Amino acid sequence: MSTHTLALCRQAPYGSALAREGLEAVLAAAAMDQAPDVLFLGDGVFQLTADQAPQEIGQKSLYRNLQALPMFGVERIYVCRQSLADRGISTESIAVPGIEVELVTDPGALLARYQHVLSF
Amino acid sequence: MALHIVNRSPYRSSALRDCLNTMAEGDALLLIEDGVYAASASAQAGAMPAGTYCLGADADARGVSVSDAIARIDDARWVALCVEHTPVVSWF
Repeated sequence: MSTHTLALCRQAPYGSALAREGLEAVLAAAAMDQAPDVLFLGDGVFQLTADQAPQEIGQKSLYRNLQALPMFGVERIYVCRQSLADRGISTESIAVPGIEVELVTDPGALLARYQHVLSF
Repeated sequence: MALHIVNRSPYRSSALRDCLNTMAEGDALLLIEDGVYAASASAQAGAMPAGTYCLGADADARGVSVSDAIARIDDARWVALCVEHTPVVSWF
């Protein structure tokens, strides 16, 4: 786990390519043993909802890609508590198998700890 | 201290609001491109924190008159801000 780089994921899945691009960037970096930490904030928390079934819009499930993170060494993700509350998402409903979800109440303080923040 | 960069209009995107809700005390905020609409003297986007900057060229391009409370900067000063702050966080 790195205290060097953080991927800030703020976009909902499927509506734009940013969510998937962010996840692929994290997986690519992790494959090179440069795994960034990941913070889901704002609409980014929608990426964590379990029952995604995008076959009919011709897309692969982003949630399933999330489950690849532990295999690449990313075993913990940060999730903004306020963003969940704002969207009526319960903390239990965003469990990702194999990944520890750490709820963050002060994302600003978390951001400040990193050298580089990649925004998606 | 972090530098936050917002390039979206506050009236069309949540980028500025998300940024303001996340920024820590003492972080700097730079408004560029469509973000400058939040810097205008008559902006309804609410008060900007101390340490808010606005890229002059983008404001001039859009005919935005920047509020006195916000510092107009040029590209060179932008580079200096990026060097002085860690991390640099983009909101879009």
